[in-house]
Amino acid sequence: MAKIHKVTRRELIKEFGLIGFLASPILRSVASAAAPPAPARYISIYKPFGFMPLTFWPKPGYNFTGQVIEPLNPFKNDIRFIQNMNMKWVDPDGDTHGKGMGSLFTGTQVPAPKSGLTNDYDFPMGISIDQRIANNIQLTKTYPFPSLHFGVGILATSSQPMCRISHRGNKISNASEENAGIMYDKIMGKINMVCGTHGSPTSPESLKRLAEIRRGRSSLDFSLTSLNDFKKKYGLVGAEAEKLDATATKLREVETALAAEKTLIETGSPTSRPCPTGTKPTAVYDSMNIEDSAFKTMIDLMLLAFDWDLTRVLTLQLGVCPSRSIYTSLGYTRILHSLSHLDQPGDEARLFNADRYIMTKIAMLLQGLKTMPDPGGSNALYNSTVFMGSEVSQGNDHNRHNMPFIVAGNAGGRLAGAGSVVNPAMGQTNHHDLLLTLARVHGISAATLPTYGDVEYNNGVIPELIA
Amino acid sequence: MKNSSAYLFLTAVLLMGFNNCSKFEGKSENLNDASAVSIDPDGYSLALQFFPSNATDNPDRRIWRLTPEQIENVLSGIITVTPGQIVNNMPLEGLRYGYDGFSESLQFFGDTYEQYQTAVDPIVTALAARITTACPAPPTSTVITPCAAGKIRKLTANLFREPETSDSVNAIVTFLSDQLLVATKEDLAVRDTINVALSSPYFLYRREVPQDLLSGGAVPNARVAENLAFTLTNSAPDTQLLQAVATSTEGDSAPLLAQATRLLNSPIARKNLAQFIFEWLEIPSAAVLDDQVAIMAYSTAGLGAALHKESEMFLADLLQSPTATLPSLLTSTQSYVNVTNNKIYGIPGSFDSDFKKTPLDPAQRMGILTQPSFLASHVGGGDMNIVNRGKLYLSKVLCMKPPVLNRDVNIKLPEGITGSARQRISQHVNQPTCASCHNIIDPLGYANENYGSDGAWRTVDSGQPVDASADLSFLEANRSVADSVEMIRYLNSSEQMKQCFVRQVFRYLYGRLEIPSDDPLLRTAYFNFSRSQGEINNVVLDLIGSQRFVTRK
Repeated sequence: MAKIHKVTRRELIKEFGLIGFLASPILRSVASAAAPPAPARYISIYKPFGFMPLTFWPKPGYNFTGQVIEPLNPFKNDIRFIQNMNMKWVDPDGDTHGKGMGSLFTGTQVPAPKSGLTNDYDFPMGISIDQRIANNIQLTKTYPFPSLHFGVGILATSSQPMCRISHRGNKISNASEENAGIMYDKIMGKINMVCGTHGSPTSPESLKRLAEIRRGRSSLDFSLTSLNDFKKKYGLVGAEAEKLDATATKLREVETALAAEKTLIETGSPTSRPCPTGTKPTAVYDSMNIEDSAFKTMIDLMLLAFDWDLTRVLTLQLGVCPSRSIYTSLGYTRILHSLSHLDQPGDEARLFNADRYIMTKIAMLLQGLKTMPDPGGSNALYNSTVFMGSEVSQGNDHNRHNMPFIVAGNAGGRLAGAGSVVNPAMGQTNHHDLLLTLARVHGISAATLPTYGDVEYNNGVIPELIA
Repeated sequence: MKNSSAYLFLTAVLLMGFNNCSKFEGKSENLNDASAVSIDPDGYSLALQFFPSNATDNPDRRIWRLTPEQIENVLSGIITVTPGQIVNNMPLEGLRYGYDGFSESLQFFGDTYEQYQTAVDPIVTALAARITTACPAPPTSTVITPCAAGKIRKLTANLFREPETSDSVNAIVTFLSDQLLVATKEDLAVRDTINVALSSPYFLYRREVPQDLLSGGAVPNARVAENLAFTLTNSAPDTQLLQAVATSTEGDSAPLLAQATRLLNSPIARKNLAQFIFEWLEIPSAAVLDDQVAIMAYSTAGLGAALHKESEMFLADLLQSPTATLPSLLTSTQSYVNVTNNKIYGIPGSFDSDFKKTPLDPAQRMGILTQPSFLASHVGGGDMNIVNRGKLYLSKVLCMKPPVLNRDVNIKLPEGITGSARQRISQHVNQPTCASCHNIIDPLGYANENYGSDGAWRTVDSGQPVDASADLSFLEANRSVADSVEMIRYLNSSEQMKQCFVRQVFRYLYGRLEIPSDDPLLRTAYFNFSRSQGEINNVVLDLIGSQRFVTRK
C-alpha cells in the first residue's frame, strides 16, 4: 500500500495548482501576518456509509499501517479518533441514511414521517455544529461568508432536507454546492475586491463593485417591500406568512452582506496581496460518476477561502442519502452504496479501496491546512477543528454504534488528545457529547449552550478533548 | 353513472345548470345528501361511514409555491429554456405523504431560494437580451424607452398571471424606471427588473385567497383559472383558458368547467395523472429506482430504469382513454416488455430494446400493483420487503394508519431464526408489543411474497416454498387470500380501496391533507366514483369542479 509522502512547497504548487500558489507564505500578506491570533477555524466533513470497523480503527500502538486510514499517517499526531460514540434518536421509522445525516451534526432527530412511510423527509430539528460555531464567530467579527459549503457527488436535486449537513434551525439549511465554477465565482468575487490594487476605494474594480452593490441593494429593497405588500394584500398570517418570511430572512442577510461589503470597500482594504492568477474551473462534475479532480478542485477552493480569511467555517459533503456516487477513478462501475452493503464477492476489497481513496482526499485537505501558515508560527491545521463523521457506523448493517469519528487539528490549542484514540472514560457515549465538546472548545460557553441537540442523550463534555 | 355516456349526460346537465351558480360550482354539489340517498341508500350509507363530517367551514386562504417543474414550464412558454434548467438545479423541498407538491412543504428555505436564483439566472439573461435587442436605447438615456417599458409590462403580466394594468405589474414597471437612476444604463435596469419579477411572490406563488378578505368566500375567477391550469397541466393558464375567463360573466362558471374538461383530456394532463399514480404508489424517479434495484436486487444498472419505463408506457396507454378506470389500472394483464425488463418477466420469445405491449401470465401479474417498478420500490432487503410493502398498502392503498410506534419497542428481530422471510418476520407477531401493528401490516406484505426484491416471480425463498397466503380478517371477517393477484382482485372490489383512492386524488390535486369539512365533497366524489365503476377522470372533475376548489376563508 503506497504511503503519502510529505510534499514540498514546490510540489504543493505543482500538485495543488491554484491553492498551492495561493497558500504560499511568500505571497501571504504582511498585514495578515501581523494580525492578532484569530479564532479557530472549523470544518465538518460528511463521509457516507461509515467504514468496516476492522479496517478503520488504528491497530495497537496507534498504527495506521494496512488500514484505510493509512493515508493519514503523516498527520497522525494532528488527529485523534473518538471511540465508543453512539448516535441515538427516538423514532426508528424512516430512511436510516437520511436520519443519520440529519442527526450527525445536529444531535437532533429528523421528525417522524407524517404518513408512517419512509420517504416523508423533513429537516432535522436542531442547529448543526458548524452553524453553532459560525454564529459564535460572527459575534466578534464579520467575515465575508459566515460559512461556505462544498460538495462532491451530492446530487443537489435529490438531496432531501434531512440529507444536508449544515442546518441553521427553523427549517433553514445550507445546501452544499458541487458546482466548482459557482464556488469559484463566489470566492473570487470577494478576493477580487481586496487583492492587488483593487482594495483602493477608487480602483476601477471597487467602483464597479460599488455600482453593482447599489443595484443589488435597490433590487433587494424592492423585493422586501414586495413581499410585505403581498402578505398584507392577501391577508396572510401564520404558516402562510412564514412561507414568505424565510425568503425575507434570506434577502435581509444578502442586504446585510452587501452593506458590509460596501463599507469594506469604501474604507479601503488592508491588503495589497497579489491577486490570484488561477482560472475558473470549467468542468461540470457528474454527481454520480465522481472524477478524481472533483475532490481536488473542491479542496483547493476550500483552502483558498481559508487562505484569504473569507470565512472561518467550512463543510464538505461527500454524498447524499443514500449516496449514488461511483468512484470511476478506481475503475468502479457500481455505486458506493452497493459496495457498502458488501453485496457481491470481492466487495470488501473494493470498499476498502474506496474508503482508503477518500482518506487520500482528507489527507490532501489536511496537508493544505498544515502548510498554510498562521500568525505566531502555527498553521491552519493547528488552529482548526476538522470533524469527519458518517451517518452509520458501517454500511452493511446500518448500525450507529461506535461511530467512526475522526477529529483533526487542535482548535488553536484548545482541543486535546491529538495522536491518540480517545475513549471517553466518564460515560460520554453519545455523539451529542462530542458535538457539545467541539462547541465548547470553540468558545461557546455552558451558559449559552448547556447541552447539544436532544437533551436526553447528553452526558456532558468529553474531558479528554479539552486542553 | 355506469358508463361514459351517462357521465357525459350528467356533465351536460350540470353545465346547463351553471348559469345561476355564484361561482365555479361543480357537479359534486349538485348531488346532495337527499338525492344521493334516493339513488343508492346503501352506497350513500357507506359514503357517510367513510366521510362522516358535515362541517361546512371553508379551508384557510393559502399561497402555493410553484414546483420546479411548474416554474420551468411557465418560463418555457415564454422563452427557450434548456430542459432541466430549473428542475435539475433546485433541491427537493420534502415529500408529504409521498407527494412532492404539498403546499405546506413548497417554500423557500434560504438556501433553496439562493439555488433558485442561480438556476434562473441564465433565463434572466436571455429575457433581458431579448428585450434590449428589440428595444435599443441610447447609452445615456435617462428615461426608459416606451418599447422596453411595454415589453416589461407584458412579460410581467404573463409571469404574474395578472392583467397588464394590475397594481403588481405597475409596481414592476415603476421599478424599471427607478432602477435606471441607480443602474444608469437601460440594459442593466431591464435585467434587474426581470430579476425582481422572477423573484416576486406574484410569479412564484399561486394565491388561493378570497376576493373579500374579511368575510371570505369565492376566489376570483383569474385565480381559479390559474389553479385549474397548474393543477391539471402543471403550467400557467393557456390562451383558451384566459379567454374563457376574460369573456365569462362573473358568476358564470360553466366556461371554467368546460375548460377543466378540455384540459383534463390534454396530453400534459394525462402525463400529470400518470405522475399522480407514481407519487400515490411511491414509485421513485427512474434514476432513483435504477439505483434501488441495483442495490437491493443486486442487478445491473439500467434494469430499474427499464422497469420505470414500462410503467410509464403502461400508464400513458391506459390514461389515453378519458374513461380509464381504477379497475383497469389494477387488473390489466398486459404491460410493456423489452429485452431489459424481460429479465424479470422471463417471457419466451425475442425482445429487443423497444418495448412492446405484451400479455402477461394472469396468474402472476395483474395491474400496476404487480408491476416490478412498484414491487421494487418498496423493498428493504430480506424481511423488510414484507414490512415495507405492507406499510405502503396499508397507508396508501387502504388509507389506514398503524398505531404510533411505542418508542420502547425493540424492533430488532430475534437472533438465530432461519427459514423464509415470512417465517422470520412472523416472529414479530409472536411478540405482543409487535403484533398490534404487524397483524395488519404483514399480511399485506405476505401476499406479495411471490415477488423478489426486483419484482421477479418466485416460488422459493431461502430454500423454502413461498407462502403468499394472507389473512385479511382485519379488513373483513374471515377474509383470506391465496396470493397477491387474489388480494388485488379483492381490493378492486372493496369500497375501502375506492374511498382511499378518492382521498389520494384529493391530496394530489389540492396539495394538502383532507380536513373534516372536506367530507361532504369527498363523500359525493366517492359516491359518484364508486357508481361510475371507478372512472379516474370522473373523480378528478368531481374534485376540482367543486365549490371547495374555489372558496377560502
